[in-house]
Amino acid sequence: MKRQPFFYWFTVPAVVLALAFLASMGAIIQYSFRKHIPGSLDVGPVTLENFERLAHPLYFSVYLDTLLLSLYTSVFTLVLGYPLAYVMVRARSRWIKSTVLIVSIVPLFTGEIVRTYAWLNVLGHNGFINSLLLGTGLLDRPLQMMFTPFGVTVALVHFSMPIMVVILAAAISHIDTDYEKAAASLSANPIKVFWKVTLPLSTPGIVSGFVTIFAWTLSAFATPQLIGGGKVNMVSNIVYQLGFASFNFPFAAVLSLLAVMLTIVLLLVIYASTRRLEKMSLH
Amino acid sequence: MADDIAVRLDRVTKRFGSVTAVSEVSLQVRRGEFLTLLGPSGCGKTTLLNLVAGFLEPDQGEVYIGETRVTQVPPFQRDFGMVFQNYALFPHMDVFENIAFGLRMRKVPKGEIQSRVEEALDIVRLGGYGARHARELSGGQQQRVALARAIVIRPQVLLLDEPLSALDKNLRARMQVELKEIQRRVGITTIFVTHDQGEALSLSDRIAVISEGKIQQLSSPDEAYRNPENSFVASFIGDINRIPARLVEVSGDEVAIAVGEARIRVPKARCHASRAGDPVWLFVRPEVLEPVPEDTENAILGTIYAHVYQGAHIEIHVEAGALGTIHLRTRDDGVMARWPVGARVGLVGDLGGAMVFPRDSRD
Repeated sequence: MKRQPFFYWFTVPAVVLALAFLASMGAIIQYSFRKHIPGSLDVGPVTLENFERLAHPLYFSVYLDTLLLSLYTSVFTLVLGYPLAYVMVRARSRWIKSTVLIVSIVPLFTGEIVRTYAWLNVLGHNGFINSLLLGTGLLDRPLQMMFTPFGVTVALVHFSMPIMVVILAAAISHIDTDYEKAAASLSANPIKVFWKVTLPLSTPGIVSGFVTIFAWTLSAFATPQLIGGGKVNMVSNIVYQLGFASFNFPFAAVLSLLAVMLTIVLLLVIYASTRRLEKMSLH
Repeated sequence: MADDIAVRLDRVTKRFGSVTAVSEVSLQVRRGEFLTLLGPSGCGKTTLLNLVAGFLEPDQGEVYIGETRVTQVPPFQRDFGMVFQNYALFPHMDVFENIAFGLRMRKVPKGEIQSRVEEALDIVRLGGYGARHARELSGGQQQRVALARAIVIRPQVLLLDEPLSALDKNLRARMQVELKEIQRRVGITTIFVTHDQGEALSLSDRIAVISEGKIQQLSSPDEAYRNPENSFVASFIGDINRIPARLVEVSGDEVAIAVGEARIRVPKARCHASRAGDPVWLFVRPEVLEPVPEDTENAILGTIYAHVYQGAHIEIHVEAGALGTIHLRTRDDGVMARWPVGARVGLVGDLGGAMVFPRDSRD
C-alpha cells in the first residue's frame, strides 16, 4: 500500500500529549532524587534519602490501605455492576433497559466533588441513613460512617459504577445468545446457563472492568479526602499533604512514583493473565 | 394420540406485533422421519422451529413433543437436541466438554458420560478429537461436533436450523450425504429448516413447503417436484418456467391453452383452473422444452438470447416477448451451433408433466 504522509499529521495530538506526560514523569523522577529543604520550595543536592524514608511503617500501611480499599471497591463494584449490566443488555423491555442505563450512567456526568458531597448528606451524623435509623427508633446513637473506610468504599463504589457497567455491558452484549439457547437445548436451567455459559464467556469484561476500577481507585483523591476527612488516607491524600502542607515535593514525588510503579506492575500481571485466558479461547 | 408421532403442532399461530409469522399451522412429524421446513427467508420456518424448541411461545395453538403437551414448557425441560446455524459450540470448552454438557445437565453418571461422548464422536467420525478446541476444527468438523452434542442426549427430536448454510459448496454436498446417513443410522426424528430446495429434495422423507406463515404443501420430495399443489410450490421447487397463458377450452381429458400465438394441450388432471377464458400460469420444466424451426405448428416463438454452458448441460435463454424469458436445458452440445444467439426459434415439448394454475389479474 502506498504511504500517505498526510495521515502522519493525525498523530500530532498524541505526540504532544506523550511529551507532556514524559515531561511531568521526568519532573517527578528528578524531584525524587533531590534533597528536601524544610520551609523552602527549592530543592537541594542529589540524594537517596527520600527512598530510605519509605521504609517507615506508616507509609507501608498507607499503601496497604490503598490497595485494600481499591480491592474492596473493585470487588463490590463488580458484584453490584454485573447484574445492572446484564439487565441493561438482556432485558426485553426497552423501558427497563433505559432506566438501568440512566441510573448507572448519569453519575458520570456529575462532578466527583458534587457526588462526594451528596454522600456526605447520606452518610453524615445528621444524614439520610442516620435520620432514618434514629427516627424509626432502630438506633439510639448515630452510626459512625463518615471518616471510616466503609464510608469511603461506599462512595468509591458509587463513583466507579458507571465505568464498570459500561465495560461489562459491552462484554455481555458480545456474547451470542445462541450459546445460551444451545445450553438451554441441552437441558441447562436458566441458573446453570448463567454459571456455565454466560458468566465464563463474560470473563474478558470482568477482568478489564476489575483492572480498570482497581487502577482508577488506586489514584482516588477527592473521595477519600472528603469522606475520609484525614482519618482514611490513600496514597494521593498523603502526597497532597506532603506536597501542599509541608512543601516536601521530593518525598511526595517518591510516593507518587511508587504508586505509578504499583499500577504498572498490576497492569502487567493482569495483561499476562488475560493472555492466558485468550489462549483458553475466550475471545 | 398415536405413539408414532414425535412432534405435533396443533393450529399454532405466532404474531410479532402486527406481523403474523405463523398462521394456524398444524403438522405431525412421524417418529424417525426426516422432515424439512422449506421456504424463502421470512416465511415463518425458523419461527416454527423455535416454537418446537420453546424459544418462542405460540399466541394460539398447542405444541406436543411425543405424548407431552409442551406449549408452556420452557426449552430446558423439553426433550430435543438442536444444531444452530453458527453451531454455537461453547468456546470455553473443548470438544469433549461440549458434547458432555447435555449429559452433565441431565445428571448422567460419570462413567456413562465418558462412553457416550466417545460413542457420539465415533458416530460423527471424529474419534480422538475430544481434547481439541472448537476453533482448531474446520467448519465441517465443528458442524459434526454440534451434531454429536445434539444427538448424544438421545432426544425425541433433532432440530436443525440451516446447519449447512455456513459451509462452502463442496463441503455442503459432502455433509448433506453424511447428515442423512447419520440420521438414518441413529434413527432420530429430525426437523430440518432450509431455504435451499436442493437440500430439501435430497435429504427429506417429507417436505413442508412454507410461505407467508402457512404450509403450502406437505408431501414427499418427489410429489412436491412432480405434483405441486399451487403455483408457489411449483415455482419454488426445482427450476421451472412460469409462462403467462389463457385457458381456452376444457374438452374431455385435456385442456387447451393459448400461449402467445401457440395453442397447447395439457392433461386435465394437471390443470388447476376451471373456466375457459381464465388467465393462467403455465409451468414447464426447462428440460422438457426443445428448440424447433419457428414455422413448426403450435410452437412458442422467441429469439435465442444467450447460451449458458454448465458442463453437464447447456441452458438456453429464449426471449419470448410478452411471455418473458423462457429457459430450456439440453445435453446436446450441437444446439449452440444450430441455434446461435439472435436466431428465431420455436419451442415445443411433451407437456404431459406441465402444470397450469390460475393467475390473479394482479400477477
